[in-house]
Amino acid sequence: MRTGNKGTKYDAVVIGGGHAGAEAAYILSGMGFDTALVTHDGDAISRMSCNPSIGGVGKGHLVREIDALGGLMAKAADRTGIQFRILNGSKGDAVQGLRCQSDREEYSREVRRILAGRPLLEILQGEAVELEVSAGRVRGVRLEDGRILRTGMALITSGTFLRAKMFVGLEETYGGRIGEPSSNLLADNLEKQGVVFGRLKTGTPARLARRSINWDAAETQLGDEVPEPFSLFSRPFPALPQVACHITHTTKETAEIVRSFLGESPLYKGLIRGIGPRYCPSLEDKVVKFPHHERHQVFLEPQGLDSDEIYPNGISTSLPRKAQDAFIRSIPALEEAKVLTYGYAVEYDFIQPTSLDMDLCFKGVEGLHFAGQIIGTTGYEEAAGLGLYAAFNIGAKLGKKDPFRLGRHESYLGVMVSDLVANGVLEPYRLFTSRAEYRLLLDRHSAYRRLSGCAEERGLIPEGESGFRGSREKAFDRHLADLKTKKLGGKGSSLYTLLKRSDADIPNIMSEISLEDPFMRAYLVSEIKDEGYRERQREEAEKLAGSLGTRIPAKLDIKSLPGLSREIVERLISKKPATLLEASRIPGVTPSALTILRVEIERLRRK
Amino acid sequence: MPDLEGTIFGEMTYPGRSALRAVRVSGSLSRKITKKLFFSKSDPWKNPRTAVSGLLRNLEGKPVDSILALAFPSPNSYTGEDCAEFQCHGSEGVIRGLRSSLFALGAREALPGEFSYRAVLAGKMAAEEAESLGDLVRAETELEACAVGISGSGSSRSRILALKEAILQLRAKWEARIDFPEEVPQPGIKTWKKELLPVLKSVRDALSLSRRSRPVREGFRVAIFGAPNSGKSSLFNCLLGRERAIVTPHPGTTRDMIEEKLDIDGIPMVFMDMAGARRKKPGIEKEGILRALESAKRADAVLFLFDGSRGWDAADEEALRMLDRKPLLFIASKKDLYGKKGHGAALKALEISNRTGEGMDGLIKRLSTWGKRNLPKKGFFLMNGRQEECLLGVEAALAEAEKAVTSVENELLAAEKAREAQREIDELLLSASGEELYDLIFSGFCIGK
Repeated sequence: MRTGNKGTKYDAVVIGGGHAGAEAAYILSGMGFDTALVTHDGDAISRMSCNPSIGGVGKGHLVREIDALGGLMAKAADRTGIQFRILNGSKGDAVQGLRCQSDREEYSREVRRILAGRPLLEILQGEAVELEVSAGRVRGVRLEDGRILRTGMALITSGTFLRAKMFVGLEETYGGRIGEPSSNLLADNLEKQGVVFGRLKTGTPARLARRSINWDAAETQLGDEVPEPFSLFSRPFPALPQVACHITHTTKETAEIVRSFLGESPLYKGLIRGIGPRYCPSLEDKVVKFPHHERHQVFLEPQGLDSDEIYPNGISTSLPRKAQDAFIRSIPALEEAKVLTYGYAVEYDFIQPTSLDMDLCFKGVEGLHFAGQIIGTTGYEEAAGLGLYAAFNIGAKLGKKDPFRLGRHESYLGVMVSDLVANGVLEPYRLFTSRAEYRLLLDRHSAYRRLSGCAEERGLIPEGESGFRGSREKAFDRHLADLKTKKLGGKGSSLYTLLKRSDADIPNIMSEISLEDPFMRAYLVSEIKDEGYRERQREEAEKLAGSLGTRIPAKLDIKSLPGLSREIVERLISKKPATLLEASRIPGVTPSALTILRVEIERLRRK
Repeated sequence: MPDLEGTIFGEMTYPGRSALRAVRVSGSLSRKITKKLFFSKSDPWKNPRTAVSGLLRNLEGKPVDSILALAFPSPNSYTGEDCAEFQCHGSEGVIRGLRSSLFALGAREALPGEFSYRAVLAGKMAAEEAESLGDLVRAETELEACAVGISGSGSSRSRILALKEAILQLRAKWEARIDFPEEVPQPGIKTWKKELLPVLKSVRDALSLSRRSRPVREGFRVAIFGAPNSGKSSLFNCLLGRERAIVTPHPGTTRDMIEEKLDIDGIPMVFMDMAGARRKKPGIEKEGILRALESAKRADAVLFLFDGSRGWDAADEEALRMLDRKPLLFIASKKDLYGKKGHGAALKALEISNRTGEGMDGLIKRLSTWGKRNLPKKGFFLMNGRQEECLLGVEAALAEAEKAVTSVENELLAAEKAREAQREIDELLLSASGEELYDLIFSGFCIGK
């Protein structure tokens, strides 16, 4: 970092200290680049805006991928998790999702601690208000207090803060989170650079006082007896004491109350323009769209070990305060509940990810990148993944290396980036396993095998861990070989063959080899049982990559091709796919269009 | 794959069928071609989509026919390019002359389906419609035309769409359970099986109906079988002589087998002559009989022929034994030689004479009755080869899903197979499903954490 009269120079500047910004700052500084992280509140780094939890089905897979790639979310979650549960425990291994409840304050503190360990990272408190752009490239970032950060690489990870408005009943206030101001100047400035914003919305429920809840009336939910951490290298684990969670549900009365207040709902009065997700809808949405549902589940999640706050998951709302008071009290266990802060909806600016290239760089300005919720995703995990991905690519540009790309058959991160950049979003994008056509290949056990290499190349594997990673895979190979040679009771088929049968007695078979580690056991069983199906998906993925892997030469003049509709021509020109595979992902590009492209490529080749 | 350049032309009407014959031209040379070959007071290009009468000329300028010409300026034409149509009188000479003029002016003859291909590429037609349209043009009998018409626009397509919808609904239920385990009810695997079976059955029913509809597209396969010298070739030639031939190349025509597709009272039937028996060279004959047996086995019906004047003998007995299947009809040939008394009566055989044509009407009637009886009653379901391949893929995937929910007890696997099934049916429809799955999930399940 060099300070001169023109301001301090950095290799990269990250604007916004949320989950995306934190990962990006961690990665960039870990790769050896001078990085600045600008946040309006140093204490708000990686603050969880909504439910105090990390992971889930799909999201949990992504968190482990982040760990494999050298990111911080997994380790922060493991160190601050207060309950760990695997979802889909009884379903196929590939869709089992790790999830934890987190101590919200501790999580934020842990991320700050981790970031403090990066000597090349400087965290600056302030608000970014302007980008200095000339000759189509980023030259610097100006802060509100006049400071100028000189850089060629900016990454905007402002989450839900751009021109954000909060709604409680018919009251509107400007702000991105309760008690935190919105960023308007930066949004205006970005528009001058050609960025076009859309509006999205998200919502959050009221926070309740723990002591005012009648816990006996709620159902208890314990964590797993042998919890699995997000990062297999987290030690000690678990680090914090573990707690139980509780579940209750809304009633018919709740629905009636909500219905009676719809006239004062900003959503139903059309005051909120932004589009919200169809999943995670507000309680108002649930009542209106599913009137026949008598009960909606409410998960009472603790904000932390010492916190008095309870987060009632499932009743996010923007109804007026008196409505919230009324419907909360109609929920069993919450009859005497005291509201600490009321629920609200947030409407915010976002940029369509179709205006970004595969580096997550805005197509109009060199060096201007976006990641996280601002490009249309929802969820901490999605944001973190995108922050990491953008950082890898900024790092590649700074180091003049090849861009960082992940195939859809290699990672959920690859699926998400591909979905966003190719298709854009009509509602906030959340990761589901069903989005991945190669879901069987993306199980959590194989994340390290798939992705460690990328982290290793960039020197991002935490100290001491690379030995662990290598020996884990070696141990896997050793145990697999063992299973292929050993036989049950010394005779008959090998353990490996027995495991493959659908009626296999897995604990019995596995007890024949000496293996303490339950996660290694799960890894082996999962690989062996699904081997055939995974092989098929792998072959398919490779075949597709092969046949559609044909590069589209730059000199190919799309406008000159006969038989392409004007729409397809426009899309091909705007997206500049490098290969037929990329072209095939562009919505509206038909197999005939691909045929025409292929014919033309062949024709050019023969010339 | 056709190269996509150049101006193409093709005849729009069936040769030998009609008093009018029309030739259509598509491409950038259409205007120049019209100018050179069509002479009239008004310019069709100035009066688009209107029939203009005038004279067809050859390249030397000499008029050869009075015709109607129509111009369709791009993009409002079948292919989206400049198109011209010349409707001429049905003279072979005129058409031949027109074709050579077109060649000389730089156009080339369109490949089969090429006009439709261009229409699809220009976005004028959905790819899936085009396939059926191609088949429509090739439709040879009224029955087939009617059925393909159905396939192209109405019931066949809606049947496939209904299958797609059923698969999507199934996937929506299953994927919702996998991706939202805490919000969506989780019934046991027996429920998954109950949900899957009706969908699998619908697919199998569709395939079965398609199989039963195949004769409508391709024709029933009728083999003429019998001992050497029973009059097979004569019968074959006789049929050819009197019934309308359907002259298009189709697979199965080899040197040793002669097949002809005929219109039997509106029903397409492919008659197979065991030409192996035609070869008079000894030794070859045995091979020929073996080959004949092969195709007789694959036939939908066999006509067993024996020499009525000679009577049923050991050779016939041997041939019948080798055939090893029940023939549709026994036919005693050469009735003209033996008159009223014959050995045909004993086997209740149809008696015919190839030479005089006696008994042929009866044969045609018997064939037609049989054909009608074997056509599917409840409408046809026609798919071409590619579509049928896709639907078989759907069935295979769902069958594996069934295994997954019964013996293997693995819901995830079943869901993956359901995804495969959806992919195959998208391929069939040449479409891609985007967010349809999530539209269904979120409208059907209250998901909200």
